[in-house]
Amino acid sequence: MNLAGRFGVISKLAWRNLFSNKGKNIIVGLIMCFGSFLVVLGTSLLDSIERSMTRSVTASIAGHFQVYDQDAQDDLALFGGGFMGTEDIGSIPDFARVKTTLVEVPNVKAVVPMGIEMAEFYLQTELDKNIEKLRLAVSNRDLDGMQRLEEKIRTQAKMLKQELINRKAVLDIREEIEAQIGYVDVVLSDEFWRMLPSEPEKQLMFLDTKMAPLVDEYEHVFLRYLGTDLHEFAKHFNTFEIVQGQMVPQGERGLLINQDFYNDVVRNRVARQLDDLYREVYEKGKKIATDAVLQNQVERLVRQYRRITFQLESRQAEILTTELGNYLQSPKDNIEELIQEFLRVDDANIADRHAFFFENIAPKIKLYLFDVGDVITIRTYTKSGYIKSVNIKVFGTFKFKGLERSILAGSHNLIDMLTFRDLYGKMTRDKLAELETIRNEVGLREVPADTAEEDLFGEVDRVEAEKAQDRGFDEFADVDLKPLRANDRLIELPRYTQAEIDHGLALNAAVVLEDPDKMSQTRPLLEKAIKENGLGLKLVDWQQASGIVGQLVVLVRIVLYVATFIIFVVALVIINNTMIMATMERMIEIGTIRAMGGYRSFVMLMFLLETLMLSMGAGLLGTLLGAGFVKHLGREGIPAVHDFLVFMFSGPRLYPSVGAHNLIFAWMVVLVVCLLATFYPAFIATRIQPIVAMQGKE
Amino acid sequence: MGSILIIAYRNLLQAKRRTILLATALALVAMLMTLLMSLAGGLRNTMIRNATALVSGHVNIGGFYKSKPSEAWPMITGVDEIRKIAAEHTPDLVHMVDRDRAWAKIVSDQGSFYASPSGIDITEEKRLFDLIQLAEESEYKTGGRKMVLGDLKKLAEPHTAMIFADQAKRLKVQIGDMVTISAPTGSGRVNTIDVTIVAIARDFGFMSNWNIFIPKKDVRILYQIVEDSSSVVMLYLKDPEKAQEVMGRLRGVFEKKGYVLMDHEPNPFFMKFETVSGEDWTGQKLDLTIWSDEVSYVKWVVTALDGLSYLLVGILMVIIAVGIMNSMWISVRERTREVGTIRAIGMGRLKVLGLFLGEALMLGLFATSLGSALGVCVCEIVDTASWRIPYDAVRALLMSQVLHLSISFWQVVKIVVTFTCIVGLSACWPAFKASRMQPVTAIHHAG
Repeated sequence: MNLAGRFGVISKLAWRNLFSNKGKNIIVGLIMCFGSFLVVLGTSLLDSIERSMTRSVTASIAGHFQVYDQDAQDDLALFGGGFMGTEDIGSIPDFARVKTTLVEVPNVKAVVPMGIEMAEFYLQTELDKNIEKLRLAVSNRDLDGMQRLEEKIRTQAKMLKQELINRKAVLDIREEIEAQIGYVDVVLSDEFWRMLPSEPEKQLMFLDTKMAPLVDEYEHVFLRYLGTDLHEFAKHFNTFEIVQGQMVPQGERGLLINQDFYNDVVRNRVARQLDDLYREVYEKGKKIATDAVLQNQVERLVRQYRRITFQLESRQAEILTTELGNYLQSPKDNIEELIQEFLRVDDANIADRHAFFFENIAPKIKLYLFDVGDVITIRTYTKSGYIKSVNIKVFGTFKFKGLERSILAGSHNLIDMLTFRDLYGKMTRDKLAELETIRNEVGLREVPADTAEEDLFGEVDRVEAEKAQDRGFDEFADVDLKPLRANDRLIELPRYTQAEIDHGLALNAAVVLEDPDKMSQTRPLLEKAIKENGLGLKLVDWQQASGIVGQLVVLVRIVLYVATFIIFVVALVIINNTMIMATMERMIEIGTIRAMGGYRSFVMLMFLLETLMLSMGAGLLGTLLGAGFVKHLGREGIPAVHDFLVFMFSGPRLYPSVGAHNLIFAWMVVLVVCLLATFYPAFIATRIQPIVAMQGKE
Repeated sequence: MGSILIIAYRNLLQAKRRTILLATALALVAMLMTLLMSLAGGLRNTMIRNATALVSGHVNIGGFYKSKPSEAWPMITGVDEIRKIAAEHTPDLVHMVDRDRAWAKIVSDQGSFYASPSGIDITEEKRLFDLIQLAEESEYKTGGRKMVLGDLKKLAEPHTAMIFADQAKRLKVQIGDMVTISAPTGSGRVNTIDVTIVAIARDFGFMSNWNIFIPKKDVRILYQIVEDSSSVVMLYLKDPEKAQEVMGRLRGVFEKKGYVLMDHEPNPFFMKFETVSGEDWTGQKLDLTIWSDEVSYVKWVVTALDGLSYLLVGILMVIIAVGIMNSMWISVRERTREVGTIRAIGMGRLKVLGLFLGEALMLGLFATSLGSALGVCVCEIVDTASWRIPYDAVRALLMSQVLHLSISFWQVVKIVVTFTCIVGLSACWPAFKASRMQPVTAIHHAG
């Protein structure tokens, strides 16, 4: 018999055997089918997670590569390392050189300067606003307005006095607080207001400098900002999109707030919590009625009613009382009780109340701590430990398209490079000019860059710097704290040019590529360019630059691959076992084949072919089922039921997709596992002696 | 019964190859489960150790003071009285301390970070003394000596601080150096004090990055608060498992004594600022928590690990159950004649059922015991070896520098019993089939 003919016989036999050993084949087929299903599902999920995480890192702030000072003390960690506070990654003193050099490298699209820091932010307080209005009313001789504002400020003074009395009970600075209460008493006295028309400046000054600093509305919120060349950034991180407001105009200083941060941190807490509850119920499919955590959340929400009522003007409160009374069909006419009743949501009414809140209540309150267009004060520590604050305008909010609610993409706000340098404590043109003036006036010593801040301390109008070191505590006791609060006296600064952005300091820089698939080819070219030009930089890819986050992606991949491996090892053992038993059952058959002159290779081939056919069929079925399932998931999306999953999915839902490589990989894995599992049983089969078969023994 | 077991045992021996393969697969999975559970157990232990050393007692009596509704200071007054009441009503109390909590930027000439300084009275902190290991100089300074330099007792002096090794590296400081603690205290004010580093301790995973210890007095200076106030009274119990119960009892006691209590919210104090500052009360409210509440933000790691373990082992068990069912199935068919014979000589159906089930259960018990035992051995070896974890991300997730595995005897028993039951269950159907056979047809069966 020729080779082809023999092969034909063997395949026919194998094919028939598939049906004559149904029990075994169904089991093995099922396991294979299940296995390939799992591989398709697992690998395509993993690919999708990796894709979305890669995107949320590279498309938001990292670019494809990052460069920073090669002598940096800490590793670059764009999303934070293990400490609260930013890493010390050194600095790039002249960014322009880096830019011009690296942009020349093939496949490099852009080099964007960056620097990350954290700051506290302060807002104008209610009292500040009222004093300002009063100032206006006084200068306009608006008696009605003055009367109204007097009432408001007196109410605030009364509350402040109570606060100070409460504070006196726990603080060890009784005398100081007594003095403060004294100031408030002055404002509460009729005498004070009688004097206002005749001596407005003196009285307003008193309010401004004595009473206003006592008010504390600090929200204990940190703002993480990325200083960058805003226009270059917007151009090359092409999913960047302005949501509200506008881009910071070319040459101006300004702040752009991340929409996620704006919603999650800056927004009124009641609105945010209501939103969260709504999402838990409608996105994650949880039930308030059965979920103790959600019930607690509702309880806490109800107690936050003050965040609404406190903000309502009396007119608004009246309107809302009627509206809520009608909506809730409640006889109550107290706004506080009505709001509490309204906030006690359940599964049935949450959607409706969520909608009512944003339609009717939200417009009546200040929904965000600050609005687009406001000026806020941000305060941070410079590199050498000074405290610096800057008043800056919020031009707008932004998002990265397709990465809404990605925790990584939502973690940074954007600020112009020049303000970043101010806050970082490095020279800008304005300060250099000032320094030059000082130097000329003094005409004596060189002021080295390191101590320049000290020399400038107190000289800069816009930037208030305080040195934290070498002082006792409470160094601000007698400092006029006014500059710490945002106000409209934003000093007009000269517009800056592109050259100023480039010829200055950056901490790190993102390298954005034309073709991201060619990362590995571009890397050596970049390294060469850095070395040849003596830039003194360290080059890291986005994964390394993202610190612990990048490692986490690798970790998840390793865990999943190890799990898949273990599953297949166990499956291998089980399939092997099943096959062996099936072989034992077929002793007579095999013995007969051997007795009729079938060679061992014939038996071996028959067994392997059998398995091959089976696993090809079952594997195909499994991969198709898997592909179908992933397609289905891709349409519906997998809800991220846990915060960690929101992080992994880079959003509230993952929409996985399946690629041909997933299917082929799964199919190949199944074939290999099956063939491996068959070798031993097939080998045993070839050892069967014809005589055993003929004797009918088992 | 005995005879059934003997027959089952002999059958297992007879089908050696099959038994070995199935047992190997089962043992592998049991070992895997044991290891995964010991990893979760180790993590839990690390968590409780870190939490109770750094930020929490087994039960905490903390609270907030508000001088106006929109404020939230983590501070309680009348601490002596609170301590007295707590001591009186906690029978298995081992140790009690109170600590001040602060939030500040720690600044040296070379680096800085934000952290929470805990104000402690070192004379009370015997437990901290036992848990903290001081680091050798070489652990935080390149070219440092291999000897411990600091002294915890010096924390008794004012303007001193104990920090951790990673923090020392970050600040580039050593024993005797000065750092500045700079704390925002409201109304835009920042108070600062300079302190001398008197001790540098070994890290407690990433959690120690966020904590430093300074004398109580220094926190009071920073915030200018009165004596007899503190942030939290921490109670350490003989049996930490009873924390929940003790907290429940103490809530009742304090309420009866006229204290106002916050509703129990299982979160650390720093996650409550926002809630508290939105509520309409002023004055003081106590907030009772247990240790796991104060580290609730890392609980997801344990949940994720558990989830992953159950998913993986679940899939494996399905595969194994299919394999067992199949092999029992074949075994039943192979032994049809044997079954017919023993039925014919008078064995009841139940006994036949028992015969096959017994075989499966015996296999399950043996294999899973072996697997778990192996798992426990590996776990002990790894744990004693104190293997240092090479990746930052893994260190951060497991909150420890070294791999720590721990599993209790009862957990192992649980694994063995569960797995054996699953094996038994998957053998049920074939065994039932065997027991339904008619003796006559069985004997006639061609085999």
